Amino acid sequence: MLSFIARRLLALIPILIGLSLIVFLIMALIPGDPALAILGSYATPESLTRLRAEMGLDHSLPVQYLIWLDNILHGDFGRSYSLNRPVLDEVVERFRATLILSATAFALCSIWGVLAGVVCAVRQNGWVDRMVTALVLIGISIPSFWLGLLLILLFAVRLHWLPASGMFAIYGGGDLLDLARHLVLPATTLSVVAAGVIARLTRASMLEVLRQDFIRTARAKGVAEASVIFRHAFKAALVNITPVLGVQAGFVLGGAVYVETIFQWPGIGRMLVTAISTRDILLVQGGVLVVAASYVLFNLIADVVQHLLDPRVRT
Amino acid sequence: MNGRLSRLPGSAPRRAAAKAALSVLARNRPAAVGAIILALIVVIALLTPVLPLLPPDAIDPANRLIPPLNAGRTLGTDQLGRDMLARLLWGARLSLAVGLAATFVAALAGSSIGVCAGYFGRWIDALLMRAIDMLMAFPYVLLALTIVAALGPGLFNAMIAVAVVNIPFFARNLRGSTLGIVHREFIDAARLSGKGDFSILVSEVLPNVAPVIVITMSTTVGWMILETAGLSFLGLGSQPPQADLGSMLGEGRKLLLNAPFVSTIPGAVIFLLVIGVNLVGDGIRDALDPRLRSGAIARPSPVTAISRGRAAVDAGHSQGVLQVRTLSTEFQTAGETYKAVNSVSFAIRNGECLGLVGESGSGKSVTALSLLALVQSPPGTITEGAVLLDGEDVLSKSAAALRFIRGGRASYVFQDPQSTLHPLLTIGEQVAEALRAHQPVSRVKAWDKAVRLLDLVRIPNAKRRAHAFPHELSGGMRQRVGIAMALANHPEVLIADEPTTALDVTVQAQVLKLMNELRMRDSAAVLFITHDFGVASDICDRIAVMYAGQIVEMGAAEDVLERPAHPYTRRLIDCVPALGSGIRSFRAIGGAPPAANRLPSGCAFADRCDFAVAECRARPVGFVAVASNHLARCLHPLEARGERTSA
Amino acid sequence: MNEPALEARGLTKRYGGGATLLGRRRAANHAVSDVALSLSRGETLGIVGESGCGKSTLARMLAGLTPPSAGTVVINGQVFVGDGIVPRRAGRRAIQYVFQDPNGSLNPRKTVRNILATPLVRLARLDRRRRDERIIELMDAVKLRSEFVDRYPHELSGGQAQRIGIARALAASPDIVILDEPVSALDVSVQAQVLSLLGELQERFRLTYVFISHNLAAIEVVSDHVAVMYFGRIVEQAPARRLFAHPRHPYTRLLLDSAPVIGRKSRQVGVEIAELPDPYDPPPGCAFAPRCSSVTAHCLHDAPDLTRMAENHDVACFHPLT
Repeated sequence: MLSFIARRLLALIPILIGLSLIVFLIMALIPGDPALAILGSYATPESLTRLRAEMGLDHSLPVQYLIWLDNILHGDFGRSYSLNRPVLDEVVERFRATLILSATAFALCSIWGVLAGVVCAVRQNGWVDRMVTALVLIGISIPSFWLGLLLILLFAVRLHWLPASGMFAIYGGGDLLDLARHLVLPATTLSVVAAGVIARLTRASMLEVLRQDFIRTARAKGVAEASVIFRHAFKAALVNITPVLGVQAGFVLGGAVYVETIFQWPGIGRMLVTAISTRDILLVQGGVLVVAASYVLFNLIADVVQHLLDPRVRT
Repeated sequence: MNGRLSRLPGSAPRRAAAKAALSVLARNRPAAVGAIILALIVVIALLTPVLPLLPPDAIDPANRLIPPLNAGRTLGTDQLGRDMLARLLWGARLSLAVGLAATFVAALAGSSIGVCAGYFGRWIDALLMRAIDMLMAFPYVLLALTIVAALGPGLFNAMIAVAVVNIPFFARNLRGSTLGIVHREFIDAARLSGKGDFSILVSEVLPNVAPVIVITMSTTVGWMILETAGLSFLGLGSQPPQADLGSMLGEGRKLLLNAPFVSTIPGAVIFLLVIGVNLVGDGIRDALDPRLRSGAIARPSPVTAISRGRAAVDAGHSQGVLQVRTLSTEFQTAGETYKAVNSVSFAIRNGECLGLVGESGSGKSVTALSLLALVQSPPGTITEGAVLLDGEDVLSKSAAALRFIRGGRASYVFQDPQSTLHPLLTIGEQVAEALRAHQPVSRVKAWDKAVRLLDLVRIPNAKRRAHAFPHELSGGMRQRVGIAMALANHPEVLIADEPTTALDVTVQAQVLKLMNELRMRDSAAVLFITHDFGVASDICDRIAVMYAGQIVEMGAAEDVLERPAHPYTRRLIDCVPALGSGIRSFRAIGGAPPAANRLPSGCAFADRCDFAVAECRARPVGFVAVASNHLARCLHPLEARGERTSA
Repeated sequence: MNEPALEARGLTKRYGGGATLLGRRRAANHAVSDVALSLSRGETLGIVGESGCGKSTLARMLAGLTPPSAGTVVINGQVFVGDGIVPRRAGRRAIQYVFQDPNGSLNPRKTVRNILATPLVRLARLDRRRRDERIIELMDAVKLRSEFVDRYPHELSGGQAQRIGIARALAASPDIVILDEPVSALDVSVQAQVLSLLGELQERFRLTYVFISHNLAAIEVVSDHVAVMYFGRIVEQAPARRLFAHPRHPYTRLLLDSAPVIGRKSRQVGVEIAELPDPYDPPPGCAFAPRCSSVTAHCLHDAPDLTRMAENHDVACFHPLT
């Protein structure tokens, strides 16, 4: 087990290097001069040269990459020119907000998705199954940015039950309860799509497993039906569900961009969108890198869980 | 068993298969609804340029934010006084086009990568898939954002970004299905026929993975429409004045409180479009997935459906611990009825072993599964008969009562120990579970007993091996576990369904020996199903031969094997020359058994029989006693004609 | 006929092996070790063994489908595979293969006509008219009605599909056909049909067969010579009649005794538990030693070579049965 984790950690190194390379290259290959973008078209040639030197733009690409990587490994992600503060500080602050939102959404969608999927499989073609299947279809077809608007219109504008924006009330508040009230709408919006996908897959996977020969063996042994469903079928289906949960975590983390924009959630997604439109390259680089790296780590966890569940991959 | 059942209806001709796929699509009501929605949107999108609409970009500040159904504006106007209806139709047209374009780009690039990786393998596979892993390492939308950040905002760039993000789905799916095909023998056959790599890829691999491409497209196109709209919503896709549905929503969002219709209406159109696409996509997936087509994905119920027309047979005097009377089981699929078991009757006494011998499709396995209602329903139904265990009809019992009989008084050993053991539970747990399902013992006690049972079936080092998972054991060892499970509760009846067919001969001999010893020890009644007369001869006291769902001959093992009365038994035995006999020729039986959905009214073997006369085909043939306790379903049994052996 | 039609020398297949990036040696699995075969035109060599003995790997190497790690395959005096030579068209024409799974060996998306046409175009280089004639000939040879040519594989029964597999192998008029468990997937009555057909075809076209099976009865009926494989090696080789009447290797004896025969209660010899050795960590001595009833210390330390015991009778055993 330990050696498996060690091997997986080792395998992370090339992925992280690749990630950093992609992020760096994409930004380096942006047409146009970042220095010019920062200083504007009225900048003097001297100040442009100075800024270019400051940003390391006068080196060759590989050297630029190495300098950049070295800085990042030392925790120096550069300075955001639009916010005029260290990129890392901004990213960490924003990422915390995103994590709160997406972790809640992910927990919601995993629980709902798996539960709905199992119930549908067990009651295949019953009314519960039909209803959930219809809901799932709506869930995976609905644009989350539209769903968010509708929820705001209904619960915030019409009913005044829940706040429409922000993470904490502007005046006062700031406690956990306040956070929870602000979380309800965005987390629900964010979880809908992933819950649909997970429910679908769980249902299909359960149905597939229930047809297997070893389920017939369990029934031939006289095992109680509840045990057949949960101990035998669900356990086997879980092996197929875990990797999908990993992928869905990525959807939730990425989908946070829309939800944060709609609900004015001070997360990293909204920061990135702003940074892209203001061409704050260092901020984009830093943000993307941190989110991607954390996602890679999350996938590692999913892998380890998978490994624990399935003895066949263990050998 | 499963494979054979699901193949029953699959033998339709190919053109009919295509037609079946279409009819599945047509019968699928949700898909039909989706198709109508989608067709409507597509037609309107195509007609938009010729429809009498106001210009979508004409600014008219005087008529700002007119609500829908006012002043001749069907859907009102937006913040710049532009006609919403016109903008909506042009926007839908754009969103649809961009979504489809992204899908095609992703499908082309992703499928090429996946097929090449799967086909060539080795370093090409490693290289391509590491690159794909890299793309997958970014959370979905984030990668699209990054690409747009690099290329700059714009609809074309957004399309490229969304396509790139979806490449991994195609690459992974196609790699998987290509891998499944590359090792098939027909690829080797093509190579032996002189084909090169390119030709094999194009004409052997591609046609077989094409459905996967279509399925992946149909499941991702909805996503891609949503994602391009999403990027536009964030202001990174279409740039003003050009507007797709997403950017309309994004711009209108600022007016949510005063004029919600400006943003909600485009959102509703996106939703409608995507739901239409997804409904059709699901329909396509269902139609192309052969497993769904045959209805095999349906969850089998724990107990076979039983609909016996006749009242249950009276529990008359018992001829044995297990008595089966006129048992019939059918499979209903696609409007066809397959009579797998057709009025089968037999009885087994304590300590006796009855061999049920027949070729594939003869109904022997379905008979075995019907005894404790383990046939999958749907599509199976027990239509007639009774299974008497100590004189009590098993098939009349409730599901709960049946559960206590299964694995308790009657238990099974199945054919393929690879698939019949749970892959994620240790063998000790699986044996202990069989005990705990029937005996009130503690977990620890059950485990101890399980280890003793594993020892009994001669699994070396049982104490340690009890912690092993099935995949860690050889086939022979796994089958021993199956036997241990079956014997856990000292059953009165043991039903063994081809327990040694998947094993090598030397292992088979050992397992047979073990089974023989243990059944003697427990003096259990055994129903032993096999296709091999040699195996039956080794272990069985009596033999029943099945053909086309019926028992055609039954009697003591040596009588049936040495003096077969039914021509089918005779010919089947002669098909395999006895080992060591030095015979160097075969006497094959011409023709094939009748299909289970088109059984003749007379003798099912008549068409392949040398002695058939008109009378044989006229009406069902009953049993004739050729000797004491030796029955044959034949009007002209061999013995009676004085024809002994013909070989 | 002095020159053998098919000859194999020192054929070996290793999987794995080599070294990891860190220089650690990877375990190697010898699927087939040092197999030598020779058979003359018109003969049938039966290769028998249980699962995992390497018989299918051997068959694939003979047909050029799997490149051997060492050794050569010589067809009609010409090296076909090995020594860095890759199979060429001429060799491909001379040796063909019939697969175990009749349906798996036919592309489900192609008609029978298409399947049969491929070798005629690629190997025999026939024009369209000659091709159609040849397809009719082939269908006739395998006793299928010509209406089957426009069907798809899933419309055929197992026996019919296997006949198409045979027709495809015969299309380019090969000298040698490798039959890899050609009837194992078929029902007993259909097995007999296909085996009789194979016998007729052999006589008619003077084919050389390598017949691979785990079914001793089938091997006995079709083979002139028989080679018994165990754990990647040939342990006994002899004319069929001789081998079945007087097996010399204890493993052959065990196989014959284990086979279920009508009217014979099984006679078990040898050790009860039959497990093959770990292929990645084979024992130094004879691979069969742990199951052998006449095992001695010698067997556990050295592996016996295949040695000639009598005319045409080779056995790899220190203590052959008499």
